[in-house]
Amino acid sequence: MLLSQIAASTLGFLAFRHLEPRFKAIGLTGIDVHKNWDHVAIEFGGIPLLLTLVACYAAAAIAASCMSRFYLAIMLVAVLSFTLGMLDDVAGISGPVKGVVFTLPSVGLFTAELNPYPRLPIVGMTRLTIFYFIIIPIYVSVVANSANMIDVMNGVLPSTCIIMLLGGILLAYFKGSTKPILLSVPMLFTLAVYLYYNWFPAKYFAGNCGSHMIGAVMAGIAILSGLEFYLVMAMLPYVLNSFSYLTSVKGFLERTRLEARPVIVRSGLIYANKDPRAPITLVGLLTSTSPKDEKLLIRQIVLLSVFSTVLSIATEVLLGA
Amino acid sequence: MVLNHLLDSDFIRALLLVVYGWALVIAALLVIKFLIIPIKPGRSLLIMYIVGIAKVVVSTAILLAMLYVWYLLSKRIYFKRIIPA
Repeated sequence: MLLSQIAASTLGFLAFRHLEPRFKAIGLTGIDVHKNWDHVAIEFGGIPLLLTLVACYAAAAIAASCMSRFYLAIMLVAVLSFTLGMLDDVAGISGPVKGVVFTLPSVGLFTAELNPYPRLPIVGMTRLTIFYFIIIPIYVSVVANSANMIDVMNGVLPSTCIIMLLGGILLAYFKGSTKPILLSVPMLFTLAVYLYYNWFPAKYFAGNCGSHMIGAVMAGIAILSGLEFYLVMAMLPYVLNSFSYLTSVKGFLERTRLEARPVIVRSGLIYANKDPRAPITLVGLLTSTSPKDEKLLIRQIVLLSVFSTVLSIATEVLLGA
Repeated sequence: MVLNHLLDSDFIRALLLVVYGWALVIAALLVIKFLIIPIKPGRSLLIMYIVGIAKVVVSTAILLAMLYVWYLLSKRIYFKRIIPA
C-alpha cells in the first residue's frame, strides 16, 4: 500500500512539475494579493491535483482490492466536484446556486455501502434510515463550500486537511478500525504533493475546482469512515470562518460582488477592514487588533486547526459511544 | 519566543470562539440526548416517524440558534476590537 502510494504521488508530483511551464505559457496565472511583491501563481492547481488524487486512489484500489468500491466512490465524488468547481472557475456560479449544486458530488457516495446508523458522542447510536440520505448531500455541500471559503492563504487548505486526516487516523487507531486509515492514506499523499506546491510562496492555487474537490473528498472520507461528527468538530475554524462570513453579508454573496473586502493589504501586512460593510472572516478576526503578515496568519490558522482536531479526538474518545 | 509571537490576543480570541463553538455542539448533543423523547420499540410506525422528524427539526433549530449566538459573539468581539469605543 505504502509503495503504491509513493509511486502514485511521485506521478502526481511530476504532473504538477510538468504542467507548471505549460500553464504559465498560456497565461493561467493570477496575482497573489497578500504579498508585497508581484507574486504570480498558477490558478488551476485543481487539474494536477485531480490527476494526483485519481492516481493515488487507483493505486490504492490495486493494492487493497477489498476497498476498491469505496475508492471508486471517492474518485467519483472528486471528479464531480472538480467538474462543478471548474464550471464555477470558468463561468461563475452564484452563491445560493453553489450551495445547491455542490450537493451533487454526493451521488458518488451512494455507489458505496453507507451506514445510516451514525454514532454521536453523548447521544450514542442514532437510527437515521431516511434522514441520513437527506443529510449526506447537505453535508458534502457544506464541507466543500467551507473548504473553498477558507482557501485564501497559501498552504492553509492542504495543511489543515492533512491535520484533520492524521487526527482521523489516530482516532481510528484508538477505535481499532482500519477502514478510515485505508480511506485517508491516498488523500494524505495527494495533499502532501499539493502542499509542496501551495506552501508559502505558492506556485499553484487550487482554484474553485481544487478547493471544492478537496472539501467534497474530505466529506466523502468522513461519511464512508463513519467519522462524520469528528470532521464537524475538527472543522470548527472552517465553520467559524464561513458562518461569520455568511451571516455578516447576510446571504451567499460571492467574493467578487462584495461591497468591501474583508481585509486590506498594505506593504505586505494584512489589516482587518474597518468598513462595516466588510464581511467578518477568520483572517479578519485574527487581524482585528494588529496587522499581520501572511506567514504568521497561516501559522495561526494551522494552530487553530491542530487545536480543534485535538478537541474533536478528545470528544470522540472521552464522550464517544 | 515563537509561541509568544503566535499566541497574541487576536489568536486567543479566535481560539476562545472555537472552544465556544465546541461547547455549543456539546450542549446541543446534551439537549438531543436528554430533552427529546426517545423512540421506544413497540410504537406504531407513524408515531416513530413523527417523533423522528420532530427530533431532526428540534435538533436543527437548536443548532441554528446556537450558531447564531456564536455569530453574535464573534461579531461583538470583532467590532469591539476593530472600532474601540
